[in-house]
Amino acid sequence: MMMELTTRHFRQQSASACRDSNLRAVLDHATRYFMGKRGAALEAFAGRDEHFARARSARLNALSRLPDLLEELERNATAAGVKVHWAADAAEARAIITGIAKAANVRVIVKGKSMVTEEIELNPALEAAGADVWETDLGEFIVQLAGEPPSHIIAPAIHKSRAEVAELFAEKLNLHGQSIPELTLLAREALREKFLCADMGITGANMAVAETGSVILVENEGNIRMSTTCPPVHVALMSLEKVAATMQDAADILRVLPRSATGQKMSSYVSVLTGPRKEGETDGAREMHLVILDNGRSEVLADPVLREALACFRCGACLNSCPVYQTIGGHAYGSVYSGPIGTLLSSLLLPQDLTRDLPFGCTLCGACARTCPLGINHPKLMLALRQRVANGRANPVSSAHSLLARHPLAYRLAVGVARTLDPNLHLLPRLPGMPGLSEFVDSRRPPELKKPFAARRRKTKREQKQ
Amino acid sequence: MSATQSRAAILDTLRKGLAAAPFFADAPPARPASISVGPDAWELLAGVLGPLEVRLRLARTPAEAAVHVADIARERQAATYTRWDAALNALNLPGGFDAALSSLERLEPGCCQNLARADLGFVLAHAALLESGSLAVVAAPGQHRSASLLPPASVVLVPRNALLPDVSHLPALLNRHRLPAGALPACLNLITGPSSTADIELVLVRGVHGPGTLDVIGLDWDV
Amino acid sequence: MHAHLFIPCLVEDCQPEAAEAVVEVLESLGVEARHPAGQTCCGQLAYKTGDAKNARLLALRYLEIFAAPGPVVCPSGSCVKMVRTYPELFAPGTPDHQRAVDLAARTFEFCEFVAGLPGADTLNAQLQVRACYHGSCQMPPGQSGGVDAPRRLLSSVRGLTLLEADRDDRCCGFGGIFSLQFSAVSQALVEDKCREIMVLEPEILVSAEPSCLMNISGHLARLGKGIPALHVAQVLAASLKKETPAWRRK
Repeated sequence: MMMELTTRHFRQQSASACRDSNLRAVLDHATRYFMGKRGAALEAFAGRDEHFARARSARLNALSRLPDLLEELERNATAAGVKVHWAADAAEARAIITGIAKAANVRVIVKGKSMVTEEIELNPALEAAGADVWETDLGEFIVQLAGEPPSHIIAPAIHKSRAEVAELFAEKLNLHGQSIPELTLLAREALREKFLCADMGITGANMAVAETGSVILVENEGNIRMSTTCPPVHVALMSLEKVAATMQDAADILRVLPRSATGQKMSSYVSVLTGPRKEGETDGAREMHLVILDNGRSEVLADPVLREALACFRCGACLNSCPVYQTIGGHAYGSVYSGPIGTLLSSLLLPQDLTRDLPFGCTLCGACARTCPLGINHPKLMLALRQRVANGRANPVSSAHSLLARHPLAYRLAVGVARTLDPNLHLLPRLPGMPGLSEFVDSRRPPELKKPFAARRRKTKREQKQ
Repeated sequence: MSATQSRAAILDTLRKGLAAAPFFADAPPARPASISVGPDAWELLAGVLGPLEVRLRLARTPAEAAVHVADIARERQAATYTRWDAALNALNLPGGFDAALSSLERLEPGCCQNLARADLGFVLAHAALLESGSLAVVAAPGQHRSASLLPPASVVLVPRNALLPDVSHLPALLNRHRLPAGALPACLNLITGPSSTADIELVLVRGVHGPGTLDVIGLDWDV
Repeated sequence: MHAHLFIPCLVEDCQPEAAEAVVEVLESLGVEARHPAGQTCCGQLAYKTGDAKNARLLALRYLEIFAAPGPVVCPSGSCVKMVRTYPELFAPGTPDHQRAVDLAARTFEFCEFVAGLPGADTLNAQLQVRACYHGSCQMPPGQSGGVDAPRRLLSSVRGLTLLEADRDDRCCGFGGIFSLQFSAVSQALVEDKCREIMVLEPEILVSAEPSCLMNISGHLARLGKGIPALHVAQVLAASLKKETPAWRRK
């Protein structure tokens, strides 16, 4: 389900999310679950650091040769019978995919989970073109029925309880079940019908391999295999940074991605698709399309600091490790991508005036960077984005503080006056230009201004001399 | 913009970006040594499949394999099945592969709708990765993708010479299955355990869209 | 041997006891502590609000203040992190960049510095106390695979029971300007942190990061559950002395 962009209201939304105790409990459970699984898998991963470094190298190598590799990918995919399309932005991608659907007289579309299709708001466009669109990943199916956006890269419906899902299935599908296995079976049966009558399958792409023209899809449910096996047409939408130079690089990435995402040694299903079905085969799409999407990414490659965000392969580990995400969840971020990497991607891909607050919604604790298997230094990028937002105009508080701090005598005088008049800083919340101070002081007793260290030291030294 | 304009514009922006700030990825460290495929390979495979709720049955002879096939069909209470053709015929099970399944109805492959009723699907693994328990199956005529996907119960037969250490062998595996004209196969799947989801309250459920059970028959000879 | 004291603004005026403790510990290990004048702010606040210009101006001051050779020791992980970021503020190849690289290389977080001194392992430290250590996210990482410096130092104190809370390295929610702009999230995080600490029923809270100490102890005080909140240096200094420490006499 598509979401309205509300990144502009990130601050207010994060505050509301904090007050939602149900959400907090679900997030606490989910993020601990994922971190626990991941931690156990990495503990047992022999040669982990080397494998991480190889995956990072594969990703950075691809970025450093991106235009050449995209051309190579196009050449090899075309040779394998894939129709390759280039989309500069979301509107072009939507037009290309609805065009393919119209040309093939498509009525029913099954979709695998794909963040990029959410990014370009594909579903409403396909529906407007007369198609019946079904999200088939169980979590995506649930949020589609609920009319909500996904709340987590890996588990889109983690915010929904079984009771809510049962209610939803009863209301929207007239299917009745209680237990989680029952509900899962109901979804299987409902969607199986759709797979068997679908005219087109749409997926994202975890990777595409330049050397071979292959598209690689990673999943656990089998819905992506269904979407690429049963319908006659398969469209894979790939954001352009997801290229791997060689199949060997792709294999190095496959070694790390599932472990970091879900703690699995390998996801249940990995599909390596190189072109449509070959002559004599009885299943698999007859027609395969690869849509290469830019939507703002190509501009990022010129920035030596920020382009590191393009290395991400969406394992979602930084979300689970982030104390802010653990507290507010995905919806508060107001766009498709949430958590640390989401903050970076949204800031880079969306209009700047919508995302000013995003890089400030971070304590810079660095849990994300310590977690990222690809070594992305999110806090460093966060700081670069803050500079970009500030655009040379200093925050007034920081300005005033810096001015004082550059003049030690004035600084000491100011602190001295404050200590004399208000040593317990009762007046702190009344300082102008610092919204949030009163909330801060409500929940924390301010520190006491004491006789400063330098003065104490001078006194001690005098006493020692005497 | 037209399609060709977009293509040119995207590539141009990327090239200008790299020209303004070129960079090179550090050379990666050597890949850590793979586990070796030795006499204990079947044990290793069983050990990694166990936590995935996949049972490995080892057959020392084609006759034993036929017994396992029949046992699994009984256990899964299957009435219908679909299977790969020549690849499984070549195993020379006594009386032919279907002899072990004589009381079941074999469904002919075709479009997916043809197999909607299949209870059981049999395929041959082109590789089994000891590190992750992944089974590689390569699609080809007579080797339909849906056989390991549509039926609620899936059976994969793994010959001894299919045992490989880990996913770093993926490129070699694909190359081995190149078509006569040099093209790669249209589809290679790595199957690691049954279909699974934890999308509702993070409770693991097997068999959401793909098979809910997966049985592996190890063939202790080279095929 | 000597070391230059780099005393963060928060410590100078709000936690001066921590700075005094730093001096005591250093001197007990034979390190002469010098305190260069003119210290105000290292530029962290400006830098973290995206104000690179002011951060650079303040960094230039600190390059002057600590121009004399010798190690610079600071009782705050985040301030050390800032100094280690100085090289990014200046164009490579310039003299300022060179000075920033030099200063970054000889600036150490207090625990990191002390743990590396000869004699750190044989500090005759003793203190009977149940201490909960908050491992701030701002601290320099430990040697690969090993225990980090503050934990090593605290573990060497006889009689000290080191309590580690659930998710002990998780951020306390301060984050400087974050705590004002995202006050609700910040508060939620400090609530989590305090709950996870208090369940252990510690006598004291210990950290090597002054801002975390201020944030956590400030909230504990608001909850009416105030316990002494001490810098690692204060615990070490107290454990080296015979008399009852000041925070215990109160």
